[in-house]
Amino acid sequence: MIRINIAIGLISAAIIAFQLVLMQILSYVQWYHFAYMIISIALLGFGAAGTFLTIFRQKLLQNYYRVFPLLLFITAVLISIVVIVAGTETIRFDSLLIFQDFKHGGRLLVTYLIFFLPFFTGALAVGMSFLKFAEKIGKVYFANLVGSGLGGIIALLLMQWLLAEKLPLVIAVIALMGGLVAFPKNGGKLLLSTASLSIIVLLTVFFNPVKLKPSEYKDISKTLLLPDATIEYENSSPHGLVQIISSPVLRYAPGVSLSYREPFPIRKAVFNNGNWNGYLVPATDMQKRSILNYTPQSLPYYIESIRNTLILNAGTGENVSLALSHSIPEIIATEANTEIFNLLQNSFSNQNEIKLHQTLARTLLASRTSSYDLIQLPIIGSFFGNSGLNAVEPQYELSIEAFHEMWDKLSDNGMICLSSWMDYPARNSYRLLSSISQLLEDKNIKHPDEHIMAIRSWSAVTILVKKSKFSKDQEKMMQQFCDDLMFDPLILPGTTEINRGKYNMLQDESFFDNIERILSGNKKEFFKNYSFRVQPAQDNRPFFFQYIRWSEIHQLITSFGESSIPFFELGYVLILFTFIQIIVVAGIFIILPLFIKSWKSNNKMWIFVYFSGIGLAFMFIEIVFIQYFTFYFGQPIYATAASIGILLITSALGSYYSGSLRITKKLLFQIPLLIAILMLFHTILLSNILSHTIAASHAVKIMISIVLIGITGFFLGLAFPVGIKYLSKDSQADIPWAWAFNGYFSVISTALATIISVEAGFVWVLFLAAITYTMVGLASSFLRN
Amino acid sequence: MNQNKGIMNTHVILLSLILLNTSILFPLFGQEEYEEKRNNMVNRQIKARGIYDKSTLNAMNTVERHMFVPPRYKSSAYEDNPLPIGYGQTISQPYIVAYMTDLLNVEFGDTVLEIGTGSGYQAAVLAEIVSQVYTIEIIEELGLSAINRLGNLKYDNIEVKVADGYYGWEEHGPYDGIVVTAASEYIPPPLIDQLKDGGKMIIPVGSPFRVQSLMMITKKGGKIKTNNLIPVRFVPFTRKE
Repeated sequence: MIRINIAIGLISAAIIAFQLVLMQILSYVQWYHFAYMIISIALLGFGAAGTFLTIFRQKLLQNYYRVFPLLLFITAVLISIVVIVAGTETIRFDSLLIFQDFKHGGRLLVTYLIFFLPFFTGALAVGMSFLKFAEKIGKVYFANLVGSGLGGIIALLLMQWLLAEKLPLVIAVIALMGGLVAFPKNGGKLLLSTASLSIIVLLTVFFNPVKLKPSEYKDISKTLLLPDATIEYENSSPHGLVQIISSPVLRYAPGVSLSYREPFPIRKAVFNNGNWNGYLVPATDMQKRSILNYTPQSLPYYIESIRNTLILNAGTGENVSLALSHSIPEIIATEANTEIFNLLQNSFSNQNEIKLHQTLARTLLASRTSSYDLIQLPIIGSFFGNSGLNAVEPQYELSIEAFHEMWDKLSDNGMICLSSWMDYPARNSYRLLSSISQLLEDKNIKHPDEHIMAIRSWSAVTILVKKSKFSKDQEKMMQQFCDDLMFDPLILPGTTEINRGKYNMLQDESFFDNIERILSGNKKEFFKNYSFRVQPAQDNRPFFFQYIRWSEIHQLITSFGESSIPFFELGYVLILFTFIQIIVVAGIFIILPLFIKSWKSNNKMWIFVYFSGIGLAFMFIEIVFIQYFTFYFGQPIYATAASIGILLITSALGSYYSGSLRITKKLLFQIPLLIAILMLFHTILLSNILSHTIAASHAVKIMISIVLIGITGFFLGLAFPVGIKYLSKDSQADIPWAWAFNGYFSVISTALATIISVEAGFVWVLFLAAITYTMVGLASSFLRN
Repeated sequence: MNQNKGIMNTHVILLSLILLNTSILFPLFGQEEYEEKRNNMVNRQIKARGIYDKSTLNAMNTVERHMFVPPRYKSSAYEDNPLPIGYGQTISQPYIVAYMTDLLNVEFGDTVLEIGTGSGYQAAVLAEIVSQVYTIEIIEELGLSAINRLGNLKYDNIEVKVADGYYGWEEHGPYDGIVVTAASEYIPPPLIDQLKDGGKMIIPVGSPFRVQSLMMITKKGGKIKTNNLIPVRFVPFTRKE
């Protein structure tokens, strides 16, 4: 039994590690949205395995000691080869072509099925064990959860040391070890030959390593096509693969003023996961004649004498260079990505006036007491139009709460500088402006129009909001700045009489009217009528780049045609697309096959509600915890690993403890209800507790996290084994059904939780989890002995 | 036996005739089909969206777009979409090509510079209108294949160069119009210098599979002005009243 438990731990670790590695690989070759697809594929594997067990239960259990290691060997082989197979020319899909070329939709489906296989075989091995040792489910589930928790940590550590393309093989070795540990004394020829074959396959893959090829439409692919383009540096971390590329024709001058007549500088470009991230800052960019002074973002330095600047999300250091070129005596900058932070440190290692912090912007804002003359954020959106590619990526530094914190950190004459690339239909600049307008309203500023100034170049908008009123002199300086650099004023303090098209005209001038509507008392009317959601983002719904409103989709289709919708919000559309796909595919693989066998049970209703409910709500909680603790720790990847790790390990403890419980109908009512009460507590208090302790020391924050996640995890871990143990007494045949329902709802809950977060906010996701657990508890009234 | 032989011979002759006919008819039928598709493209995608300039419509109706796309996309060459041509590049949506040509407002006798040859389609459309087109492609494979294609199609008023488009093509300038077909995040000063006074430069902003808008730069009396045009996929986006 110990050997089996170790093997279960190893295969569980391999499954979770492979899931994280696949997410990383797809983020590199495509875009990060496929993370959701991978989570659902993994869960689909579990659900489908449950269904498979329902149908072939007897045969599988009769040969358990041979089938179990056999499945582990097959999983090892599949883990080592699926990325290679999915990367072949005939199967490789491109997400940008899905809406153009149906063939790529089909390829996506094939990829989905290929990636599904190792999760299915791995989960089948685990599921068989649950069934075989249903009496001791607590211990088996414990091994499963501990293995899963460790699998996440192993993946993160491996990502630190190895390139993502090498990781599937390492993880395959973990699965192989599981098979070897569980190898029975009289394994037979089939098992022995499968074990030998899997070792041969793994060795073949080792000697023929795969090279990942990103989509030809990714920034890095296009850059590598430039003459003499060379990858000068690459390093992997859990944040992604950072690469530096040089080429004698690689220039950097995005949105630079047309009055800049010098040759555009050649730069080394930095990419993270194949996406443009910035450029290596040379010393010339830190000098007075820097090309950066020909961008609208340099406006604050021309109209105010600045003593210190806080630069949030500094990236590779463009805004830091801009501040240096104006000889600002004190520059504080934040960057969360470890690899990018290292580049930032290297670029400015000789500059004593710069203090760099490796953290998220909000964490730094909350923990510092200093005040700043200027707080600057990087230009938002994408020059090429990001089409909502990061629509479901939380942007805590752009929420209304973040703007409040920035305002509170301004000196008396301090300014916040926000910039956005022009987009069409306009959304980014409207939302920035609506946030600023809301901020000034919240702060009871009497004449808000006297605190805002904005300019527009041929490609971007820069908005300044100042704690004190802008002076007439500053207005003149801004006009002069615009004339020198061929920019146009967009908002002038205290007036609407502005010549906004002297240098850069707009064909659709409704942009100007809408800017005035947002700043006027009519903004609510504008928000109601505008086809996109441009109200300020909040910490509860921090999706700054998500603009689509369900109620307006019909009007958008009428205006632009249905094929245009993905062009606005590709990120969100992909989530919706994944969600629909998951419902259908999971239905086909999990629910439909169950109808092959008739289901005779006295407790159909209870089994359905109980196991579906805990499947749905567990993932709801996990998704929200990941978001909240990312905000709390300021380190997205480590926060994710820590919250999942604590949740799984404490759930494992709960599961282990469940073994000592006497299962009664009352218990099946009490446990879910207890979790529901905990969820209500989190709904009301979690966000507040985290906000109020965000500035605490790391040790205190870790303790708080362990307590908050751990208690929840412990009770969450009780629910599943207690239910299974109840069935194991005299309704063993119901277990695979229970597992399939649990699997199906886990599969759909990941994307569903994201959709609810976007539409209603994280608090609602937690509240719905509380309601679900209440229903799960109340369902015990359906129980018949 | 002889009778059989005669029947066999008749079969062979008939078969040969059928084969001969099909070998002639198929390409002819293909050409007709492409012509019909091209006509539909001009009427439904270009005229219907408000482009009436005769020379632009004529050029769009003349250039065989299916000759500029990879073989597997030939059947969709006249659809209202951009198409992949490899190397992360695309042949633009027909309407974008027509719109850019129309905006340039060039005529016979003019010289045009194109940055980003790609498949060579935009250059071919312009070559139907103006006297001379110079086009630069930075990706060697694409540039060489465009030289080959345009040569085969007998476009002798197009000159292709594989080089960095940033510097333009000074020896043939100044130009009446400049088209930058590859989306760029900056406007190279040498291109502005090589634009004639009164000339126009058109630059698309945005990725071909995402929202793509056009920037028109005009030079008059030495002064430069930009005009951010509505993304070509869309009608003006006005407030709902």
